[in-house]
Amino acid sequence: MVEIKNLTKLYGSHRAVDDLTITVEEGQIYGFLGPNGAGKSTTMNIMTGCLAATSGSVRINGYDILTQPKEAKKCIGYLPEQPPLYMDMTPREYLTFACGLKGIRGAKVREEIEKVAKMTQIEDHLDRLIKHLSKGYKQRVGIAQAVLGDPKLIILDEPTVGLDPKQITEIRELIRELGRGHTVILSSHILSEISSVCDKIMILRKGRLVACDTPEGLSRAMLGETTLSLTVDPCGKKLSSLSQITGVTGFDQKPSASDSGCVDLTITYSPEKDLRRDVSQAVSGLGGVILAMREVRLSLEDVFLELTDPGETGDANGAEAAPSGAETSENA
Amino acid sequence: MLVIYKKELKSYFNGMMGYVFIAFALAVIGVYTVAVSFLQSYPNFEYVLDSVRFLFVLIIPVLTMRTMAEEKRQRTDQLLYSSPVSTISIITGKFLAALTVFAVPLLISCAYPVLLGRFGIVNYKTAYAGILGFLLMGGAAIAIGIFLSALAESQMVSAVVSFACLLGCYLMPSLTNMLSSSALTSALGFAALFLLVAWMTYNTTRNVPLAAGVGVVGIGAMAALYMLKPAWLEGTFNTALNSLAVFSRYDTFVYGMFDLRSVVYFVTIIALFIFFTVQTVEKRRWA
Repeated sequence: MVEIKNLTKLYGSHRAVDDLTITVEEGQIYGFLGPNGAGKSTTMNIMTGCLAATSGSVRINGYDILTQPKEAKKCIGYLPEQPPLYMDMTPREYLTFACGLKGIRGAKVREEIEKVAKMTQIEDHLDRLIKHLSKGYKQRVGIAQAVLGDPKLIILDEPTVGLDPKQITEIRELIRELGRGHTVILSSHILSEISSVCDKIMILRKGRLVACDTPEGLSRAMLGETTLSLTVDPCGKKLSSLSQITGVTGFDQKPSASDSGCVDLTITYSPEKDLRRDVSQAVSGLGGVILAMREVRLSLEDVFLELTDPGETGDANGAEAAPSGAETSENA
Repeated sequence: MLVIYKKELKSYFNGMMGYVFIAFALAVIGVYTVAVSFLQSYPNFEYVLDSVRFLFVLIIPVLTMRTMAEEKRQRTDQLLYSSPVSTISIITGKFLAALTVFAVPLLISCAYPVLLGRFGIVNYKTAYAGILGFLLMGGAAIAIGIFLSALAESQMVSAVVSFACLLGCYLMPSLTNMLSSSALTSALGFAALFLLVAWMTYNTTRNVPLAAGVGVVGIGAMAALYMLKPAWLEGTFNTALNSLAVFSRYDTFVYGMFDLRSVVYFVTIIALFIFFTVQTVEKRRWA
């Protein structure tokens, strides 16, 4: 559906998009995820022909956006970051105009407008001036414009920004519905939104694609090792022999901050085998007492933070990364 | 193109802009018709149009200030640029809509020569050629206004700059009259122009050798020309400046001539500035 090849966009000397290569398959919902300034909007603007790339190519449904813009743009419905609404029009006039731009003519115009109005639930507001509509309804009019004419590819740039929680759930429901018949690409810097709606997540950082996978796949890939976090009262015994348990790949101990006289252990092992029982038995065997034991799972949030935080070296599977992940999941 | 045209036309008449423009234009034409044809008893409608020319300098920016600048500010241009519509048809649609609003008072004033004909002998040919010429002149001013609107960030800036430019065009003949037509004036004038071009080259490319090269070569050529063939430079700067005097091209119509050169001049200005506008918009996408 969409093929982006070696896309680069320079603003002066700043690389907004840096050698980005993406392939989007038909009939799925894709999510662009990244912190502010990661190049999401720029990429979308280039894909829709609003902006030209410094180098690289974009093909939509086989048409190059630069050399065959008309054919390519016919396949696209686009909602930019700020919905492009004419404030002194009513939604009906606005959608009629958008129909004209997309080449929808005659009796189909009414039909299409009614369809998208129903889909986005703006039927009751079709004849009010857009400037009098609330932010949520403006956003919906923008989405209605994007889905007008049943384009194969729908691109939504931060579709839920500024909406109240109820509206957000409604819009998400709408996007899921759209995903059944269309290819949808949406962007967000809110993780829960992406993970709840999208089939595939693409994480961007500084204009580069750092990961592209299903939500499950992403957290699995990141979870190279299972980390077990324990608080143990050693009762005067030495615990270092725990590292000898078969399957353990990492072992670390330090005095506990919360319980005096106790130690905090961090044990890592490969996720294929659950070692919790072995560890527990081994500690009891040594004469120690387990006060707390917790398996640390990386949530998608941790994956996102790790991939996008410029402070990290990118060594995501390293043992140092795990405790920071544990903290965030506790906070969440 | 038709879609854009319809939408633009609607937006002129959704607010007050279109009505105010037409009312103002009709009032001005009406007052001058009374003054020129009724009180001074001239049967020539083109004299009326000659007198109202100046007022159109004032009000054409009102017609064009919104066209591109407002789309940019409201970010609605993204809708246009992501639609399967070419840039040239967007600009042409906008131009034709503004021209239509401009044409409405002229169409109404088409009745005036007939009205005057009831009281005396009116040369209808010169009168209607005058109206057609006026429409073309308006078109040229609108094309310039739309171009400046595409450059400006807000409609106020666009209006002020358009007004200044159109006023400059209007006053150009008297400005050039103030300059002597000697070779030295021309050499200095062109040298200043090359300096400006060099500065603009530097501004867009940040390439010092290139900009300096443009400036040095241009000024050097002027100096050489002044030394060797001063006759070539006599009055050329004035001629060059006078070609910018869009509004004085209408004089031929006032004299009762349907001068094809003026028609071609206006059409060229329109085509050129629509082209410039398209390039400005496309460049924005590239920048």
